[in-house]
Amino acid sequence: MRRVPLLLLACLLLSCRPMPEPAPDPGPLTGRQIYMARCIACHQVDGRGIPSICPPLLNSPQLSGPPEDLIRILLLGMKGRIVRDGTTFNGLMPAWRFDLSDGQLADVINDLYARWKPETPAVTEQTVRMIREETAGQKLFPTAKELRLSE
Amino acid sequence: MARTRQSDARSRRIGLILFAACMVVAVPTLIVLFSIAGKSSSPWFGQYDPDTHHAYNFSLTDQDGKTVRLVDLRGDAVLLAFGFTRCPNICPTTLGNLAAVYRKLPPAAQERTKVVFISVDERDTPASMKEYVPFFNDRFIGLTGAPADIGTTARAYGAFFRKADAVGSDKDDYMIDHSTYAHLIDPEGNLRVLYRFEQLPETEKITDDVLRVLGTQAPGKQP
Repeated sequence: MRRVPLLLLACLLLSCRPMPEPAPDPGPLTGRQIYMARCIACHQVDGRGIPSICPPLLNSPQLSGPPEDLIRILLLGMKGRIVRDGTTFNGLMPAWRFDLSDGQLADVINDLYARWKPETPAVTEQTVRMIREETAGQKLFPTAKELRLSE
Repeated sequence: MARTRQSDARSRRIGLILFAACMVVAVPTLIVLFSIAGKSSSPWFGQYDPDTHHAYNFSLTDQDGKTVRLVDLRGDAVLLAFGFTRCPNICPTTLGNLAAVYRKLPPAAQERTKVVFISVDERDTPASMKEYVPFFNDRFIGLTGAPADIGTTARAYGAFFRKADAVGSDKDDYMIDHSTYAHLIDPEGNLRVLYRFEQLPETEKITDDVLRVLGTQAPGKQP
């Protein structure tokens, strides 16, 4: 008889789950995590882009060009027609200057370089800060022509 | 001595009966609980509203100057978001994610799904929507309207917006603070699922929700 309550208690305990341990602090987001949260809808996980809207990151002239151009695009966004290898794209890239810090933008750009242009030297937070100051007050969503980007 | 043995046997019998009774109750309960847990392995991704609440039947103007009422979209699933074309990143990201959801739908489901973007900015016009909407998908519907109609529509969907202070001396150079939810309205015109902005990059899961409201379960997915 004394064993019955023990048996019931054992059944009850077996059906209980252990309390989850508190999740460790994930720390600041990496460039890749920011890319995955904010960029993949258009650029896709593998950077292939979207036909007629968003050009691929692979062989992108902006990844081969001066990092300042890339930083301007991330800070101000960009819209309108661009032509890549004879193919036209017409999309709108968000402007991240209000949401991402200089360090986060540098991390995102360095992640792009690591994946699609690995020999490129890393961009520093200081360079992003310089371009942020330079572009303060400029209108958002310039066209490729206004940004004087190479096609 | 004989009485003690008899009493022990009786106690054991009562114990066994109690144990059996507990098992009779516990086992089916556990089976039901596990089956509920099993079903919740494929729950709605967004915040699902099981009750029937008719979505507000707005009447606004699309990018081609035509009047669009929600009731005109009856029979289709509607993904609806509020925003403005000068929005630096929330609106383009939202529409980029909704475009990704749309691309993931099979062609038949695309035909029965409408993505609607309602501007809360009085500077937006059908012409600005005509330029903006195709940046994401040329089948999306961009709506503008009189400030009173936009205000009524936004309030009816629980959306918030507020003109922020102008930047510098140009009184037309301002941002709009606005809520960032997206709604999924079912083909009967009921508000069904609400998505937080942070959920929108999970486009595969939202696609599954859209297929569910259309009554066409995603292939390989359990109901």
